[in-house]
Amino acid sequence: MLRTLFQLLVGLHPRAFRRRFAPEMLSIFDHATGKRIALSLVADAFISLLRQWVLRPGYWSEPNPAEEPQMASAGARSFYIFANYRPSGMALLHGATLSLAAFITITLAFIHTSGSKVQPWLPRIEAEKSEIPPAEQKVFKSSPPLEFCEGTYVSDTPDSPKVDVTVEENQLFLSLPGKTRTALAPCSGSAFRYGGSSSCQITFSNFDRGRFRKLEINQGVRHFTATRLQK
Amino acid sequence: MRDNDKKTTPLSPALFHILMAIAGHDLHGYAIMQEISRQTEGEYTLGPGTLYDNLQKAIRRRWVVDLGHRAGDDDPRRRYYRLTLLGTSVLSAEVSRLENMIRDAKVRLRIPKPGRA
Repeated sequence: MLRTLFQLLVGLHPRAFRRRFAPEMLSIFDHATGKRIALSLVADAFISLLRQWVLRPGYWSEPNPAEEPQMASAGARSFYIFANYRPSGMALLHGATLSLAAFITITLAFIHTSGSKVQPWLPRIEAEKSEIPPAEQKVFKSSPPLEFCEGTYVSDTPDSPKVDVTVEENQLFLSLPGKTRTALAPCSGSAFRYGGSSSCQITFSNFDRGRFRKLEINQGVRHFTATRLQK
Repeated sequence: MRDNDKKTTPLSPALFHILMAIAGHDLHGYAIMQEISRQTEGEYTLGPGTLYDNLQKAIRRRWVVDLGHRAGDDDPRRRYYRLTLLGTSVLSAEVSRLENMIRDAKVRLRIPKPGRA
């Protein structure tokens, strides 16, 4: 029984190995005395089988003396060429099987780890952190420096007026065409009250590079947005 | 890559023992196993799988030559193996490497005697 198993394992080795060493391996097995030694030889044959197929793909075919490396006359090794190299059909079959197994394993691993969403593994490239916060990212919990608000704002709509925001003696003023200049009182964050109103009517937003870029004005039913004029 | 391109030393323990076993005389596989067991006083034993895997490697690298069957042998399945000149030089290089290592290890392990500076 053990001999049959051993013979089977030896027979599953690559052809080149089997042709050269199988009779001797069986000869050694026949010399073995005792079941324990026979079992150890079977285990050794199994390990050898795995090693030959997994670690020794270069030994699967018989070496061809004509393909042995030639030495140049000066003693330096000449280049190898693959023009006459043809892998055996068995090697190609094993390569294809291993490639398919690897592909299926990797695909299943991706599906399993990403919750049935296949995502290619790519290195993440993080942009350098800019010292200047991007637009609308900076949030002012208290009133911002008034210089951030200063400037001339123009609405996108043609009938909307041009708005001037100025700072004088640490006080923010808003000027609309045809109207008197009105002081703005801080409301909350970058919002301000217009005149004596109790609600926040003026809001500065889109903070970028030390300036607010947008101004929103709510005058009852009238609402418009103005953009800072670039100097 | 061809086997001849691979660096020769250090040798694996199995290959070292195999080359050492056939260094003096031609042996067949079973005799190599017995010789290794004798040299190591039974501490190192090789299975036929490991033996022939390493023999295959050594034959490909031209360190060992397969002499084939020998007439008059008890078992006609046995093949004899001989160490080549290249194999001898590889074994010599490995022995030199081991000697250097042992010398270095002895220097490192040398404990200064008491009373000496």
